[in-house]
Amino acid sequence: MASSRLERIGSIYTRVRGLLRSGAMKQEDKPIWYDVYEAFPPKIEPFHGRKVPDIAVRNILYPEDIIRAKFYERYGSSGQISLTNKYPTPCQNFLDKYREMEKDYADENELFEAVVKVLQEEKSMFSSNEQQSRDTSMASMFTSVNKEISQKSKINIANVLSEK
Amino acid sequence: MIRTITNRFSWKFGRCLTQTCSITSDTSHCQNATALKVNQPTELKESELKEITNPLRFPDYFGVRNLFRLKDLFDAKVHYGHKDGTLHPNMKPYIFGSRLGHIIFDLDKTTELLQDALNFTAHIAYKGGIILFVSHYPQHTLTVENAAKEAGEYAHAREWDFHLLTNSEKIYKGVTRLPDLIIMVSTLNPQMQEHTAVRDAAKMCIPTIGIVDSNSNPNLITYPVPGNDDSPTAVQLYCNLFRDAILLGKSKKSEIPSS
Amino acid sequence: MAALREVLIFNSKCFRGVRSYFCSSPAFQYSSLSPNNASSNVQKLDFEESDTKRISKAMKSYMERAKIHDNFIKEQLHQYNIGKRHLANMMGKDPEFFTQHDVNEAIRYLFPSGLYDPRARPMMKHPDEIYPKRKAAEFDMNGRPFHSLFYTSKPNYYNLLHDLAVKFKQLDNHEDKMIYRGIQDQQASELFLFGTDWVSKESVESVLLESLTDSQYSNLIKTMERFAQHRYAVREKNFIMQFRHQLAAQTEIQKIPELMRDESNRPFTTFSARRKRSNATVKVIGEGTGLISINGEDILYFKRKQDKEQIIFPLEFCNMLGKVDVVATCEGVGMSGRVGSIRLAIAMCLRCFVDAETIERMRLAGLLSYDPRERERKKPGQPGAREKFTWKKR
Repeated sequence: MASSRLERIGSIYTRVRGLLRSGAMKQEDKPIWYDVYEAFPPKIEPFHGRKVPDIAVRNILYPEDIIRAKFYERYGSSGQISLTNKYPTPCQNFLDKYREMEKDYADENELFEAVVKVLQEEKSMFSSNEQQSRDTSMASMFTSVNKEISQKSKINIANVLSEK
Repeated sequence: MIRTITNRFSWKFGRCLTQTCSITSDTSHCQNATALKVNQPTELKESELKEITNPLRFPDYFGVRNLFRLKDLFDAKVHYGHKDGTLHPNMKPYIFGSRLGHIIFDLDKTTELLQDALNFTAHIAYKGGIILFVSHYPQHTLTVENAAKEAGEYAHAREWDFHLLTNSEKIYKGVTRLPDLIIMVSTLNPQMQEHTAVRDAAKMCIPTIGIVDSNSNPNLITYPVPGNDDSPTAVQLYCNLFRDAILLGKSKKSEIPSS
Repeated sequence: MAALREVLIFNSKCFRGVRSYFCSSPAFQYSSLSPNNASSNVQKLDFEESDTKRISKAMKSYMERAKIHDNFIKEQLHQYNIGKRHLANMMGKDPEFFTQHDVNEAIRYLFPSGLYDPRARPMMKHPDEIYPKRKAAEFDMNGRPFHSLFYTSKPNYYNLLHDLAVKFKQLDNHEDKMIYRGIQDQQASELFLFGTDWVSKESVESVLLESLTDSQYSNLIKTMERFAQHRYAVREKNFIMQFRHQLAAQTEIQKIPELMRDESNRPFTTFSARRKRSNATVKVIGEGTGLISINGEDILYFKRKQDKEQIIFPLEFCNMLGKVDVVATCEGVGMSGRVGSIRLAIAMCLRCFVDAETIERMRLAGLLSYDPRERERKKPGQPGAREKFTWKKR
């Protein structure tokens, strides 16, 4: 059952124009929008079989993305970021500091470490955050606990031996 | 702005602009136009006056371009698109790029297109056309219906009956005047398919203004406005803008009832 | 007589076929919700000649339909009046003072019908009652609809949903405010909906003047239910109660008689109940010691254990055993009938001595409802109602 496929032929404007020219539509029945459309036509004519434009989608990347990547590699993400939150993210804080101190250092790695140091000094909280963010995964938590246990046991044995 | 007006009108018409300004003094372009004021007022034929005061001769008769700024769009998160895998190829001209797999719209283009759409809306409202807000997102129903009520226009933010436009005589139980403009707050239905209203409006020769997200097809939309159609902030912004444009058009109409 | 027949047949036809036609027919729908009635609306449309051009096609076609409908109703009314006069003559009454009640009586007398459904029996009614009211024009001269949700094709229904959403938001805002202020309103949380139920689809339709699909109705009820569960739903109690109706059984149960006082100033109440072929009158006296007297004897009046349990059950259910005295007289055929009637009467009496919550529990337990089962008649060729004689080949 073939229903009407009228929408595939031309645009609404060309169709109405044709009707008006041929007299199939009377001048007094002209739709309200017709004059407005004529005065302010859309930028691209809206018809069904429009060609796909040959435009490549570019990637939006910024130079500071490298620093961001380094930051996230070391400290991981702090989880979801609320778009309504007005305060800058830890990464953004880091980046701002990095920009400030950029002039004084020649080597990138040195600069990175220096920024970390400064921020650590500025906020004692930073280090604890770092700890948390580093040890978010289950696996890492396990390993850290294991380490602690082995350390404890070592100390115990040593103590026992020394006492003997 | 002055240049565009002088280009559009011959000097003969330029004289008459003083009278136009008295009618539409609050819009920016007319304030500019006062620069062209000519000292000796001349008498005019009625038809001539009508021709000059015709709103269609002004690029922005209702001042809809002042309704918003690009920053407003950015604050309302209009620039966020969907993931780039879902990008519709015909949306490519409107996008700025892909940021880590997410489409970002070019808000310069959106601004321009939205201004055109608002201008068109205001003109239709000025001419007494019926404007229908359409959306099929349950979370935006209230916003859309409120906007339509405030503007004194119509809304359909519910499940769309397939033959609402094409078989209107049966659906509305009698001959019914169909809308003169359909504003699609989102052109997709919740099943992520094209909304039936887009196709049917094109079929019935009803112009459409549509907020097209990166995964929708802009081909059949007469005035597409690329932008985020999911965020409540963005939808609220669109609804407010179109409502204000309609009210501007209607207020001008009540000022000059003769046209 | 022939003319009367015609009217009658025609009217009963109207009831069936023509009504269904009108339900699905174009512009005739609106009644109470629309500000103006259809006929008056048509009269209002005296426009000047110069305006004719501006009238939209939609309005033109509506006016044509309205005219046809008005003529049709006029004709029906004429026929109804003639039929009424004929009936009056036949019944030997004054046609000028022949009311609708007289018409109904006459029809029942002249056309006796044993059909079960009252709507299937012959009738003669005013055309206004038979033909559903139609919607007045829903748009103005330019064809602009009056209702902002007109294009949804069910504006009243969707407007109701819209109103619900708005109210929901208001309640949410109120709740936020209360939380912000740190006020915990305990009373606000409970909306008492016992004994009422959501109105049926038909009555929603008759209020909205729109036909709904089952899913639309269930959507509405779901939304209503969620709304009623809101913490501050009490603030919108009047709105919610518009969509709830009293349960029939509940209304009877709610009519609790007042307690009386006897000579020794003890509270008492009486009730008469029936079951099968028996009836019983029970007097329940408060501040008692648990005495039970049935036709002058104690509970041993009933020999079977089950019967005794039946008497005790309502008392035990309400935790009133040993707190009230029961004096019952019963008569009629059969022990189970007697005991059943006493049980119902005791339960009904106990409503005066317990709180509303217990009454509701009693209702749910089936203590307060009449048992309508009756003895099944004996059939010929077999010894009982169902029992058969032993089958022998020869």
